[in-house]
Amino acid sequence: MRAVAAFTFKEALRRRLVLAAGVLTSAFLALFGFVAHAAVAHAARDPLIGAAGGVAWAMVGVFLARSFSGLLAILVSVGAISGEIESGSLQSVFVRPTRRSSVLFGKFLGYGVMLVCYTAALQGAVLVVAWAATGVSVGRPWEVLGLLCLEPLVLLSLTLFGSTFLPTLANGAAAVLLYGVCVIGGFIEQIGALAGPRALEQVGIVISLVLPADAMYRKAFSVVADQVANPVLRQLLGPMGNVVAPSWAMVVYGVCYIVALTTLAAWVVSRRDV
Amino acid sequence: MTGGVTAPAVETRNLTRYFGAKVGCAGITLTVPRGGIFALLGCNGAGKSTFVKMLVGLIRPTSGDARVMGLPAGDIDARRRIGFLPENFRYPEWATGSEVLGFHAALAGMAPVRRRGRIAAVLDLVGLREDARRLVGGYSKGMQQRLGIACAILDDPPLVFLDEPTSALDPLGRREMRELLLRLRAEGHTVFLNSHLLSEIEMISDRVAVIRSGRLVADGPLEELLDASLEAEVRVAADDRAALEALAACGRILARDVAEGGLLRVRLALAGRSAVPGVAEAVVRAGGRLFGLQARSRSLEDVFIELVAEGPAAAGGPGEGTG
Repeated sequence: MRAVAAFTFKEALRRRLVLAAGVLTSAFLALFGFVAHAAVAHAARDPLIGAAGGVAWAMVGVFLARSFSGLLAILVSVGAISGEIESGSLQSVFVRPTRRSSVLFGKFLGYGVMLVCYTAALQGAVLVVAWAATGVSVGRPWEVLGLLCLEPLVLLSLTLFGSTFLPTLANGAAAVLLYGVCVIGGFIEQIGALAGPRALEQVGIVISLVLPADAMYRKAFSVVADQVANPVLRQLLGPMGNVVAPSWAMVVYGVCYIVALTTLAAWVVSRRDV
Repeated sequence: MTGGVTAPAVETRNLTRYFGAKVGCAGITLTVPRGGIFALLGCNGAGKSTFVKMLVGLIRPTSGDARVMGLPAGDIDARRRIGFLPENFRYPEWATGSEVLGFHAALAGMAPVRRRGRIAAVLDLVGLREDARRLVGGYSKGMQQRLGIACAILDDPPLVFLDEPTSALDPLGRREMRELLLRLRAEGHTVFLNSHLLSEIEMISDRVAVIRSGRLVADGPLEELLDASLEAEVRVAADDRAALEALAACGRILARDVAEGGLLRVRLALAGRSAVPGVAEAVVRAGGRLFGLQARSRSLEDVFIELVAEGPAAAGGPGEGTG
């Protein structure tokens, strides 16, 4: 498993996708810093908005950055199994005296370490840029970063699982669509909690159970929002924000989801023809 | 590790694989002894690759039994004893040749001390030492195939499966590959080849099996296979009906045409070298006159074409893959 994890990590770093993501991320951080600084300077004339601006812009940055790491998780692992079966390179790997499940867990570990590093660096940089631009620092940053890192891991487990039985293109399309649905599900849940009806909130919860990626982001948001005393500020971002926060049980569910889906993927790949 | 040291390299009993209603392989019973070069022949889609994939554990049989080096095919211990070059493959383009080999050495469980030496040795064997630090993405198809062969023999396995090992190589590369295979045989390895290049198979193989539409139609030592379908060229007078009747009784007449001097040249398929004197005897006994008799082994290509063309195709169509 260690050999596969190391090889996968090396692959993830060397592929142009990661290089492109790095370049675009740098551009995003620069743009985000400039816009946040200008917007907060402008809003400072209003004491209420001025105070809220820092947190709001930090969370806008986090919201945008989470979609980067979410999409990267999907794109980097979309062909992890099916793509390598299509190219024939997994045939010579599976003939080696190594369990197929170890190969899959190794791939999860390799991609997972890369995604956690990327997400922690990106979201950490967003919080630092937001602090530099607005003067507002977010408390409990490790807790926030830890929760934000769970989102790409949820998506990685989903994409790896899909990759064990779907062709690369179909798997990519399915994963991106599901991710989109889960983000929209988060919006629906917040709108339901804010303005009703309650059924909308329940739809959002069901979607979160199918794919708990957005719930991890919402929980991270709630850790930040809990530090803001004014309830108006907590609702400032509307559906992008956090009117109702997922429970810690949902975070535990998210972790179980990652373990269960990766284990299921290992089971499927162990039984399929190559 | 329970594989008996005397067990055949490969042993299958009624090995069958269906892909839905289509047959990949049907009831193949085959024994490949240890040592030597064994070639599995068949047209595209005949089921060669399906058969090999079952032996190396990449696909599961629908029914039947397969053992490799005395162990159940696909078992981890069996996989410790084999090397495999797939038919269609592409190694990661972002890695160098030596990185690919290092990865496979780690997967094979080779000790780090042994890895370096073996990687250098196999790179030398396949002629890739100079290019070992280049990215695989920059390799030609032939170089990728050499790298695949290096991977297959990396752990010095006693049994090596090579699926079309020379298909992307130039004539010089093919010659080098033949020498490598002969060297492996001399060192006591068993080489299991899947190939369409019959002239090369004829040069190096010890045993051959032929499958048609997923079914085994011939199996045995190459010499016996060629000898069993010996061809005799007989010259008799064109109007010698007695001689022609005697020849027809000796074997199947493949062709007849008029040769120089108004003689009739008859090509006759015989059941073996021992049948040759009987031809002369039969013609003379029938009162015919014999002007010439020459026996010659048929080429593997002749035998192969006859075997795959003979009789109705078996039920179902070709299965997955191209082999």
